[in-house]
Amino acid sequence: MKFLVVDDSATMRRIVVNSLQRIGFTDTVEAADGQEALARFDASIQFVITDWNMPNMSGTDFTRALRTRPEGATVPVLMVTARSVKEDILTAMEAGVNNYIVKPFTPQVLKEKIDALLPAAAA
Amino acid sequence: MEPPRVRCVGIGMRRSVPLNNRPQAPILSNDRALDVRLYLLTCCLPVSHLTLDDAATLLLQLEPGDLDDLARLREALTTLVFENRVPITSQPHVARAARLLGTLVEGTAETPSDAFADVSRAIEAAMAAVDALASAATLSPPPAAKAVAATRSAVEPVVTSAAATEPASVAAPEPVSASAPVPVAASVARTHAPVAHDPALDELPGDTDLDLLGDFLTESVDSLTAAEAALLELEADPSHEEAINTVFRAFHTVKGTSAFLGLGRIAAFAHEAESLLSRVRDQEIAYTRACAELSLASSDMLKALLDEVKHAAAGNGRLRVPHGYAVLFEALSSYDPGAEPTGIVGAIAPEVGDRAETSTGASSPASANDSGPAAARSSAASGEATIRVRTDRLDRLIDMVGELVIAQSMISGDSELDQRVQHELTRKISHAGKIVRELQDLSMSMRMVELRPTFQKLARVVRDTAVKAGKEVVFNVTGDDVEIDRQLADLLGDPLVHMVRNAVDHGVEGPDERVRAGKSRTGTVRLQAYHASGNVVVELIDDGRGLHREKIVAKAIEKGLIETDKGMTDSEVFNLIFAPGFSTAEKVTDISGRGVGMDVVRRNLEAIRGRIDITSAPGKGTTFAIRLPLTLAVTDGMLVRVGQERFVVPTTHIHMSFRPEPSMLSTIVGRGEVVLLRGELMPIARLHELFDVPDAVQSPLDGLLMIVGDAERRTALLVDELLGQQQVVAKALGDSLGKVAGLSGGAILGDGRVGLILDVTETVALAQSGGASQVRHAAERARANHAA
Repeated sequence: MKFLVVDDSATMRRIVVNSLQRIGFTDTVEAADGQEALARFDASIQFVITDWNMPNMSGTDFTRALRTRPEGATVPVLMVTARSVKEDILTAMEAGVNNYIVKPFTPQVLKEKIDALLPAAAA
Repeated sequence: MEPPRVRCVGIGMRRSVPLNNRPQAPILSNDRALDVRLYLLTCCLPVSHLTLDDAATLLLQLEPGDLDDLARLREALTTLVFENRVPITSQPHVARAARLLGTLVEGTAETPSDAFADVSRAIEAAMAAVDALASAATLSPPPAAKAVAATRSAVEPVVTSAAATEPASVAAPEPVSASAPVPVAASVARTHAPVAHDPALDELPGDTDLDLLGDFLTESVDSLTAAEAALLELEADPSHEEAINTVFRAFHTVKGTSAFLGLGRIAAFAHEAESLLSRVRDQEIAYTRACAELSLASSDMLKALLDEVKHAAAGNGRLRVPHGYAVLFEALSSYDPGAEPTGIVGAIAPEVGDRAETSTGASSPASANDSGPAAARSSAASGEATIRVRTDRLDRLIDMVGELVIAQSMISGDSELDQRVQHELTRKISHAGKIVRELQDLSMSMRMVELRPTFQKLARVVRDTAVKAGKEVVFNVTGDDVEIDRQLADLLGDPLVHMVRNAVDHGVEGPDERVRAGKSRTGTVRLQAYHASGNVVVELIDDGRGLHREKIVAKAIEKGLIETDKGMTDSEVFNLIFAPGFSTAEKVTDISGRGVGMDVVRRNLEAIRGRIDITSAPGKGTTFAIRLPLTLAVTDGMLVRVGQERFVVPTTHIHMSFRPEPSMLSTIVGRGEVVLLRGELMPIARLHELFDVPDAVQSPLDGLLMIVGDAERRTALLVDELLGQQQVVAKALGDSLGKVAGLSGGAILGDGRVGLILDVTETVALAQSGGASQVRHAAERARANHAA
């Protein structure tokens, strides 16, 4: 399964990519902001993990744009964030984000979040 | 706040129905809000859990001002999206609806009516997205889903995750039919609890000690029942400190033990429930209505979870997640009293903290020995240590003691014993006899339990029914310390639930009607138990409108049960409501309208050898009196002789015995022999004919007539003579005979011979149908078999 990891911090991207590797997902593509992510996204991407606050195009704007593309309508999007206020999360979900994960997280938690999203994607 | 006249909700065909029924008068809005709240609550309960469809239906019934209910709806929708129980294309819309509801609830919406309409539109869009997905799925599985499924199976060896795999395999390949109205249900059917990602939670731990598990289940159900009673007490008196502690302890114990047994889901849930109560106990939050509902729902949920464990232990070992688990879990963990009034907090005695702490510390291991409600109720009861004994062992003990009593009486009655000569031996035998009888009494008492737990459950039934029916009802209980055979107590539960519901729903009038009738607004339903002549009597008394004789008569005539009520006493008329087929679909105001008729109640009670009588006065109320034997292990019977045979007739069914005068007897064409007693005409059933006994008294003038049966079909049984009242230990007739019509079993009598115990209801039915011959041979074989 191919992942798109979007974050403006290279360190953060590495943490996410390493975590993914440790739970068995080795196929990843990286992007530094929403615009780059939109450019790199194609039908082969099956899961998106994105930061919220990014320069140029935020995670929510990126997701909203992604949802307008036919190949991006049903791909699961997981938002990495430090906020866990429900209202904020709902706003992100309204934009098309499917679930969120609060920093810091362990690979195990990441795996749970991914696992939880896959059935919804397949439905 | 003025409710908008126009609801801007466009959810297709679902729109019209509730709108037509919407009451316009604002005065009713409270009741209606209550209905909706109940509905929401039942969504949290195992009946069904909230789907988009439910949300839409609920929304139709709400106003922008129904803040509490909107808040609940928001919680429910939030849970839906946070747990990814809606398809990805539908999720943004549901999230939008939840967020907008938030603005309404928080009061931050600029124009509430617009926001409200937006919520409706969002839900509509969410449902449309689901529908679109469904029709797409019919044509072909979406490529994305295929790809995901394919990759997933490739990844599986690395990522072993049963929890995630299973829903996927259920949801993915099944094409949903285009005509299916709500495919959400399919994708939502599997509840993902916040803690349910761990697949281990779906199974019983491999090393489960089944005995221990059984004890845990019994104990937990008991303490939850006690908790429920305490919760109801709390509702009346929110500062009732001991009640709070009882509930807290119950949740705490369930949590502690379930964690020890590796039942993670129960432990997690109990933890949340306990946390809520501990906040109440620590005066952090007030015990409000919302809090009460949540606690009651939690108790129900815990019971449902325990049920799952029970089923899993008995069968396949899979623990399913009860419906509504996640919603309730979320509601508990995110419970926020918000702007609730906190007036009662100050009223709670300040030492509550200390006291509670001691009880917490003591409760985890020690309360494992608590024998449920009784022990939980009074903390001072610690002096009475209890031990749990398996009922089958107890039954065997009682059986053996029964045999011992008979063996003893065979010795004392032995013809070789000459009391005039063998003084010393006679004295010893009678001394042993005394001990044996005491032993028998003691062994019987072991099966006895108080009626309290049975009655406690009914308090909840009264409350829920009253809320649902919009009645104001006070429930009084007396005599709940009366003891009865445990088996009877269990079997009594269901009929009582039905009757109590009827009493509240149909017996007690609504508050306004009561005021018009010059009564207090609040109706009273009283349940009382007491001993009377060796029986336990349970009376259910309401002060409602009473039974309506004319309506019952009309209904009975319509159903062909009677032709006229001429000559029928009120009591006979009232008893008609127990006739099979009397009350079914159509509602007869005062009586059940639930499809399950009172005939089922009576049949259930008869199965435990009980009898039920009704008295009722128009406008004053109705009393149902249930007469039960103390225990099923021993039958209180009248020993009668017919020819050389002895029969035992259970005393609960006997009205009287008498020797008839010739003038009382006559024969009526079509009804056969009858006896006229005090103006009442009763058919005579000859036991010797029914059971083919030779050399019995032929004429009623030489024997005795024993009146048995229910008010509306009393029958006079012809017997030779009465031998006296006797307690007998009932035994089944044995597998080779199975069930013999007219007999409920056999018993070994004091002289070692066998007496057959009459099943009075069946005997009466047999006599009236006249088809007795087929049982004769069976009865004969029964005697032979037992004697052998």
